[in-house]
Amino acid sequence: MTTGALLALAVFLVDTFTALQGAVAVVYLVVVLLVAASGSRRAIGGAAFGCMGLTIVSFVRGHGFPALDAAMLRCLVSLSAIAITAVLSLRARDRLATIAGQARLIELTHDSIYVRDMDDVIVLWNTGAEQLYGWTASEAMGQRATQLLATALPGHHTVVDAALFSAGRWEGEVTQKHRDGRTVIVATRCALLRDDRGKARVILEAGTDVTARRAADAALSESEDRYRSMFEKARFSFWEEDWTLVMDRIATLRDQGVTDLAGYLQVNPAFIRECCALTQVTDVNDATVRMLGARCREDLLGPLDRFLPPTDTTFSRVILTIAQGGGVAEGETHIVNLKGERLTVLFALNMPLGPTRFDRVLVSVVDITDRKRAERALMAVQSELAQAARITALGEMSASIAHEVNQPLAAIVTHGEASLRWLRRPAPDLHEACDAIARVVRDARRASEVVHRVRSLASKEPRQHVRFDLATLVAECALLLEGEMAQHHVVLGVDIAADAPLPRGDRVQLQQVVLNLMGNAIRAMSDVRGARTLVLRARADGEESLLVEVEDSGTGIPEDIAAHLFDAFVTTRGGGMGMGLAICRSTVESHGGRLWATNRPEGGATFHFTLPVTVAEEAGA
Amino acid sequence: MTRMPPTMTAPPPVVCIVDDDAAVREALDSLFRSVGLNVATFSSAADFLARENASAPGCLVLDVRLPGVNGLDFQAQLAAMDNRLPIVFMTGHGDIPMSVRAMKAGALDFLSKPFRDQDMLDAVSMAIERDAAERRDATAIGALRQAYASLTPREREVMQHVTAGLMNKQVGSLLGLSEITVKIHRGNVMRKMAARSLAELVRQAEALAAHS
Repeated sequence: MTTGALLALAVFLVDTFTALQGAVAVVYLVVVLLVAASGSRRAIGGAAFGCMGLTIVSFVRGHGFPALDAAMLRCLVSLSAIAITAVLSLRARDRLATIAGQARLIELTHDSIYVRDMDDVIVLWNTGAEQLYGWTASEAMGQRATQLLATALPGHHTVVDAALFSAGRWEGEVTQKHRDGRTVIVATRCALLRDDRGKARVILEAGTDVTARRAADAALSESEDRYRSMFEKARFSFWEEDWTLVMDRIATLRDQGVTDLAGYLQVNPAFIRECCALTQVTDVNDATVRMLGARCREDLLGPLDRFLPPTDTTFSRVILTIAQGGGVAEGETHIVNLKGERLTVLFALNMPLGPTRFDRVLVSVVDITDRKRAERALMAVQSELAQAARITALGEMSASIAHEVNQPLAAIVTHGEASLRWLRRPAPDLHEACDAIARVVRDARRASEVVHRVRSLASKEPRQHVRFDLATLVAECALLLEGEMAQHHVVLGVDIAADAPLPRGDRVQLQQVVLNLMGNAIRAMSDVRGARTLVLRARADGEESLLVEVEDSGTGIPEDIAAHLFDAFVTTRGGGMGMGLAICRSTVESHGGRLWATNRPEGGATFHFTLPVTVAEEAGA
Repeated sequence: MTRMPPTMTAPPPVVCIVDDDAAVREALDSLFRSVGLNVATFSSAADFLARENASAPGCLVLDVRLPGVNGLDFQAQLAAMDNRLPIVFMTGHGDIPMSVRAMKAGALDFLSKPFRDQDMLDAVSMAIERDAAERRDATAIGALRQAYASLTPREREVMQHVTAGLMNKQVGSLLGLSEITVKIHRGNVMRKMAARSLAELVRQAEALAAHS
């Protein structure tokens, strides 16, 4: 500023007091430029007007107000030169201010920013770049960028160049080298800066270090790949389910004031079905496609209730587990595949993404139908064997008893007839007749003894009276009859009162009774149209007895049969021996209970039997 | 069977009862005696085989279930020993296959205990009658054989051709004899065989052939 002022004074003195012919005033331009280099807008303006004023003063002093001549023209040129310089300086100063501001911004950002010219020489290098690459600005400036940073582009450099030159910018990830030699992955944004005439000048590159993020992404992706691979290739069936809608529904329920979800589910089975329909199958693996007999994965996506039959009892437990924040829910249930076959499966369900993500619940399923079938077949065979052995033994025993009783009976009849013949002879032989009659009496006694012996033999059979759980016994019966129930489309309901006492007796015999009554009920419904329901109920009957009822929705007991329903050899079935109910009744009665049947007003029959809860008195065999 | 039984008095028929049950044995014994039949009772098959007077006529009343040996097997055993005594079976648990087997093997009847007395008596009297008839046949055949045994070889040849329907002249030319000689042999044959006509001689030849 001072220099400018001194120079202006010198020029003024020369211009005014020397007779130099020429445009001395042009030197004022230097003054303006000097001020412009460091001064404010006002200083520049002041300097320009000052210089112009001094020029005019010098001119007037030396020339007066002459007409338009050469000196006048020179003065005007000088004035306009000063004015133009001032304007230009002002504009340049504005631009400089902008650039300085931008440069400060560049320094402030954490991103790395560097600028290279068209020869790839670095001309600007900010603190971010120093941190990212390890080179200081003074080290980096003047170096060739590609060389210094060993930049590797994701594609060929011509592709990047083409994008840069046509669109003016390019974004992408490049790998570069840090000063210490390690590789950094940089998310880069390049911009090509052109001058006013459109000539490419420099390339500005802004970059962010994404090395750590990429490493995390890669780890995540690898983990996801591994999960996918396990999911897809596993021999087990895997399902992914979206429970979001179910959780929304439960949230609504809680808003409505339901606090005891377990209790609510127990009394609202329809809600469980609703949740089942809201559960969406979002993905399954190949093993599932095979298991469910589908053509492709897409066949199986959608609501879960297509596969879970209404008889399922495990879903409410699953809802509770998930609603309580996850963990693992597992159990055994049935699912129906696309061919309509019923599969028995073990399932386990968990939430790999934590208790807050309901959109991706993982379920693993193992088909144990064959194993169950084998178990059931084995049980059935064992039961049949036991039955067959019992029948064989019974057959042999009854043949032997029949022979033992028949011999004296044959003798009695023949003696009787012989005695009649002795008496009817022309000369009746009383002696022979008496002998024969005495033998009738003797042999009748003998027959009676045989009968007595058989009875005492039967009662000598050791009875094993134990307390047992009726529910388990019924479950075993249900398992044995499962095939038959499925074949006749019978739905079984078991309703054993929670406070029902444990019965006591010969478990094997009583199981035969239950099996027999259930089997009868199933077959009684084989011709019925509509619902076929078999219900087994049990509850306390007074203090010392348990009442069990087996109820069917069949045609009921015909009137002509009802009176001798429990007699031996009475049957309504072609294949039956008519021994079942007779044996059932004698079994129940030998336990001190009663067995009877009634018809239900709404159709079907109910068989009732009681069992004492305390030790049964040995009722006469 | 138009001929009368042989003149010698036949021994009276005996009903043999084989049953291991004493009561049944006693009852049958009383029943058969009440109608005037002779009875012998045995508790086992072995006792029956060891009986005295084994050739006595009559019949066998046999229980199917015997100690030691099955009634049906015993029937087969008797047949093998050429004992032709007719058998009436009794069973405590009569089943059809067993009775069919017994009847096929020649049993006369198969009665289930307890049976009606009349059924048993009918079966037994039929059995005794069958036995008597068989014995008569056997006696007649025995006499024929005896008579046939008394023929000379030449007379047997003549009998064979004559009963085959050849004329005396044809028999003579076959055997290289004169017709007169054939006539003499033929007369001897008729006399020795006690045949009153050629038709009777033919019947006798047939009976001999059947029982040879």
